[in-house]
Amino acid sequence: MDYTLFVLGSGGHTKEMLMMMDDGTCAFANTHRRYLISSGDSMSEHHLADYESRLQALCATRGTSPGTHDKRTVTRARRVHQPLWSTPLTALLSIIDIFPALLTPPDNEVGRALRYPGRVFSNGPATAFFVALAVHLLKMGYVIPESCCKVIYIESWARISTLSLTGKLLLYTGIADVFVTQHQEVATRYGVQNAGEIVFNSRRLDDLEPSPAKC
Amino acid sequence: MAHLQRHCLVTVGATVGFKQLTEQVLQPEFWDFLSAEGFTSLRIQCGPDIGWASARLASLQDRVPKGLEVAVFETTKNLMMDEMILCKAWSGSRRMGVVVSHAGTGTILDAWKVGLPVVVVPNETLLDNHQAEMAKHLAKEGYAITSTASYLDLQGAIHKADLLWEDNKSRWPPHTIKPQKASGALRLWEMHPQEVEKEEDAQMTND
Repeated sequence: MDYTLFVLGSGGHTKEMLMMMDDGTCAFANTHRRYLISSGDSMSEHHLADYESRLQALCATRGTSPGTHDKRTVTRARRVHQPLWSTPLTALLSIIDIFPALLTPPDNEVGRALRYPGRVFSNGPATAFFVALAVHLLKMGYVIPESCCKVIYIESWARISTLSLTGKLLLYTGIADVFVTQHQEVATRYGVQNAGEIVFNSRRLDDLEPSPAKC
Repeated sequence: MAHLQRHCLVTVGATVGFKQLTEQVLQPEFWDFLSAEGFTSLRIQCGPDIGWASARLASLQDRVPKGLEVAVFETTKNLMMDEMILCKAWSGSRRMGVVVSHAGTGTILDAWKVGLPVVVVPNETLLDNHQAEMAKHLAKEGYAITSTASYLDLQGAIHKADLLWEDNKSRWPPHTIKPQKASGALRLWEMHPQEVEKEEDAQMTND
């Protein structure tokens, strides 16, 4: 059994996250995926629906189970171009939504057995930091056990030589359990692990069955 | 055999636009080049530049070579499925086309996913030079050809992108399930705190 949380940050970050997930893995029996989406982010909703339907199709041809999934909406921690000074306010609203998303188990067998996500994947932007912070606070207060909610942060593929603000915050606070980048240059600069270009694990259009290409 | 379509898509991103690039691909000389290369369609996604771009296209309508369709549009909800797909070869109706793009990562990832030759043109006027950095990386890894926003450079780059595409095809057969298996990237589903640590240990013993 497995229960995993994915933070879908924004259009671009979501696209990357789903590409990393869409690597042909399709044995998801007894697993649950929960997605955290920021309010008003219809682009991420759209990409997500796309990913899930491609996964269903893959599982159908392979005769495997796609498992279950649900999504939770949270207030966006920081809009693009929002002044930095007002970020704490919206961030506070965001974190208030994040707690129930972490603490309310999925309404199915996996949720009843596991209660909390085993892993939390994120790749930015700001909401990713606040999810990691929420997990940290819950563990400090002994609300959730240390062994659950392992935060796995994958820096965006777009960051070749420097970390994003979210990446820096997570690195300097040390609240991510796993911290990797996708390019050697940035990994070397900050002394972190390079995981390689995970986005290119994605299936391509030619790999999809049936082909969605139209005439 | 019927005449095959061949599409060229130019895309500059939705928010800021890229005036120099839009101007250059609206040069009749560039259209003549495309026409000679067998392109039948040039579609330009030009974002906020749509106003003057459509006016210029209208004023140059009589310079559009026969057999080439030129169109400008502001943006589309799903650039990949609506527009890029037209650049893909389709048995009996379309030859492989090309995408000319600013170095925005979303577009680059989409074009990679569809499996298209890409020419990237970094927008040098943007404050941070992330686009130039991305363009350099893409060229180094052989994912794309870089060009400046001049139609003469673009023409050379489109030639090169064709050649690079043929080259990549032999290196990465397009029909394998894991085209980039050789890249050696970790797999997301296999990332667990303990296993990543193990991986690190393994790397250290290798060093």
